[in-house]
Amino acid sequence: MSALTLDRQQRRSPGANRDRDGVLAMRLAVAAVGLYRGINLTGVLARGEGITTGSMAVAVAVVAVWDCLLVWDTWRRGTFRRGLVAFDVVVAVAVGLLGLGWGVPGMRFSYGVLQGTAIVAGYALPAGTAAIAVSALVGVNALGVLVPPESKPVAVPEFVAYALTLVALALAGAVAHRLLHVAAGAVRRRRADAAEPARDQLEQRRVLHDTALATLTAIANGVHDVDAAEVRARCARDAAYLRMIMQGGPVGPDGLPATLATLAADAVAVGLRVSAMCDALPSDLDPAVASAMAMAVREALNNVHRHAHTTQAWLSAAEENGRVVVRVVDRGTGFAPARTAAGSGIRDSICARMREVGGGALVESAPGEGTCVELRWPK
Amino acid sequence: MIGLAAVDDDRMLLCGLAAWLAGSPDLRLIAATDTVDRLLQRGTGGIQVVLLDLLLADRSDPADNVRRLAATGPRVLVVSVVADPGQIMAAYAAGAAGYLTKDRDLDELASAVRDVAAGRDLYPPELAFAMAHDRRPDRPQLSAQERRLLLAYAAGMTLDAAARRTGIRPATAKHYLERIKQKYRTAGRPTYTKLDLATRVREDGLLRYAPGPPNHHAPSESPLSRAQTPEGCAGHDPAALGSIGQPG
Repeated sequence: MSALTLDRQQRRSPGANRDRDGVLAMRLAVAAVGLYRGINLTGVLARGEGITTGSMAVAVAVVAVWDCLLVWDTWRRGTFRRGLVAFDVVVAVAVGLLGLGWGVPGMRFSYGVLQGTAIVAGYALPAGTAAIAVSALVGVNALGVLVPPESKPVAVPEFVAYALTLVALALAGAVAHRLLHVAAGAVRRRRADAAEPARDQLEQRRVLHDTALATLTAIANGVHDVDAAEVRARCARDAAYLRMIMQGGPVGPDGLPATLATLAADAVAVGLRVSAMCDALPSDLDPAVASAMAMAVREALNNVHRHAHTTQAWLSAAEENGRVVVRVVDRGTGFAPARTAAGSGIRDSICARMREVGGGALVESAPGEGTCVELRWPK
Repeated sequence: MIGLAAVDDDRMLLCGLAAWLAGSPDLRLIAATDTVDRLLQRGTGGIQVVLLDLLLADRSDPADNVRRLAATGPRVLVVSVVADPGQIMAAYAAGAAGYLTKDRDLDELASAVRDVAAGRDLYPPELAFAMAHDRRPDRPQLSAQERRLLLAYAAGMTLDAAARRTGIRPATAKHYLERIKQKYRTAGRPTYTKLDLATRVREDGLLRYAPGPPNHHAPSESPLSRAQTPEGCAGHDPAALGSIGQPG
């Protein structure tokens, strides 16, 4: 399973450079498997008694070619293809069954093939599938007791030892895969962590340049009257923006904290005081969700400005029980939701938008008690 | 008349505060310093409320600052530009009477000071938000209903609206909020051994009663005696520096 995930990630990222270490580790594992299988093959060829029957000669040739193909493909891709591994199990089972008729040297060869496959199955297949594959290999092995080659009985303890070897090899494969996967993940994360601050820093610089820095520079130049209403409004707007950004965790270009900060700042600029509160938000929030939430918040703040007869609103954003929850609250006139036909603003701009991205919206109000617009994602 | 002191490393804010308070006859700024140590050296006699900046330039521990100031008598109102919930909660558990963000206009700050001086605690949504998103390991446990109420109140709803939303009566909601505040007051408060406590008292005592330069104890005519005023403030026309608030 995890092999497949890694594989997909590699294909998605245009430059697979980031995973080079991971691929290298996987290739080492593939080389080890190749060697193990190669030793089995050369063992058969080197031993004096060698190949006993024609069918065995064909089988050895087929296994040799197949091993080369499997190792080559896996080496190239840095990971096992599941289809090929399934086929490898089929080949091993076939060789194991044929091996019953090849006498002792043939049986030794077929055991080697079964063992080589057990490692690969444990390494590349998810736990459940690997268990089925290993059971099949052990089953073929068990036939050796029931249908002994050359009518020389295979002792039960001997069978148990062989069976346990297969299971142990599969487990070793699984453990090796897990370790390599964890190590590759750690390397990838470390690289990503190293790259992230640089990106964040750049974005934050840009944001500061456009807001606080521009305002401060204008004031420092001395051409503006610091106490003038528009200068103070601009300072208030920038302060609202910076406050939200500082509270919201890492800032991405489409990040929710930055977007909400802009909205709070815009509202401040038209005379609505917005107390913005933001806890750390997930940095990987889907930009479509962030944008839907931003549109809904803009509409809610507009409603406060136009209808609530108040100059103060509260905007809060936080993660609650695994959901991103954003609330726009005022303590203004409020309305009776049951008697007031929901305006198109609430219906379209708030509720429908949130529904479209798999979230939800709730508008609560009562005359004289203000209004709360709550956005949540996922619903 | 309410005696007020401000501890803040932002000189502009202190000067603005002094200028603004000139127009509030019932509030008198007795001392303005940039560290808690300086204020304690001067002594807190006659001061009912201290406006304490959460994060000071000397990197002193906010909760420790609150504790040391409150131990000498005045109530402590914590103010900050922006802060993380954990620090606000630690200051609250240390005995702060309230918390305000610095973007409040001066009228709001004045009414907050009057509330705190009258013995009322200040409990704005920002403080409730900090409680609701407190991640300290020793934060108190809230019941599901308490948490719903706290989240609604933290979002800015009035007590009535928050009660309706939680499905309880306003009187019950008020009682719940008191209980929540109490939980946060007692949670995370460091428990000192007797030895720690004795050391702490001795240190505070040494600081407080240490014989300093004579002018530290001399009664000053001006509300902002030069010894406590950050350098450069008295020489400027405070009005030119503007006020600490933002346009309403």
